[in-house]
Amino acid sequence: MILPRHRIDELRAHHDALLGLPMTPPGMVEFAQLVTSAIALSRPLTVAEIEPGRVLVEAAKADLRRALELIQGATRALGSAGEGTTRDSAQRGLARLGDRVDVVAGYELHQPFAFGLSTIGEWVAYLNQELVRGRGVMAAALAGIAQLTDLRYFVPNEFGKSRAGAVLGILDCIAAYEHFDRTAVDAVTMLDERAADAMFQGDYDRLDPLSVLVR
Amino acid sequence: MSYVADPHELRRIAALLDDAQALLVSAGDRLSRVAVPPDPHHGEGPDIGSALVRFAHTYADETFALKVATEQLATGLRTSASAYEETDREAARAYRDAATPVGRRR
Repeated sequence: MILPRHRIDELRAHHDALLGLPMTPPGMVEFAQLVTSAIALSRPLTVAEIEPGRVLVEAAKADLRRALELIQGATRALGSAGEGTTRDSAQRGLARLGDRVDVVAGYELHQPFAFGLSTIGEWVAYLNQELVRGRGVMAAALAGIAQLTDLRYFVPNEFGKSRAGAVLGILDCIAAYEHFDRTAVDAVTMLDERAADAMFQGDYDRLDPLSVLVR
Repeated sequence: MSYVADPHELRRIAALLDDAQALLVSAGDRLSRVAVPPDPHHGEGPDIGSALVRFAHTYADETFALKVATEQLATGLRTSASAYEETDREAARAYRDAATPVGRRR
């Protein structure tokens, strides 16, 4: 999702091809094609595909918080509803239930999703900002080349300067992609570890609904 | 050890738990509907979308289990309320019987 790695590989190939271009008018034409393609490969990413999930998770968290308030209110009310072992036992059960809902609503659910959905949006915004900058550098190099319209007055030095600019732009985009990719690998690893911890925590029997209270 | 409880209050608390159950069902339902379109290039890189979906579904299961636990506690409170009322009725009957001469009991 989000970052197709083939973009990095293609950009690297473009980078290598640019450095191998002959400093001739035909090389300049190929340069323009390669840089145009590199600009397309560095187009900003979107997080639209995770937005519906983010909305659902935020709404679920709100539900869990309201459920927690009700359970805590019930626990308090039970304190003045009478006395005896049954009441005490129910109060302990409610307190444990409240603690567990609190954990799910407050920490275990909140942290990974804050990390996973909201923060992913921030990462993508940062990546896009870097991509826009890299694309700007490449576009400037392309504009520089476009001024050398008359091939009779081909100036190798100007071509060389444009090529250096385009290479720098591509390198900026590759670096931004690689940084995002590493961050995403860490995020997925962490999410999977948390999910594994949640599933194999303690002697949790998934067929026993009340076992959630004794974990 | 004394056993004193207000059955009406126990039922009111059980009703609070009913409301909490409805919210837990809603939360679990939302979490189980979290879906991210599959990445056609997932073999090439970290699949954040799939990881998030797996995670959301784990929490959906847990939330549904909490709902069942809440339901069982609410049922327990209602059963206790009924038991207290039945005990009161039996005590009242026994008291009436004790206060009534044997020949006049119905």
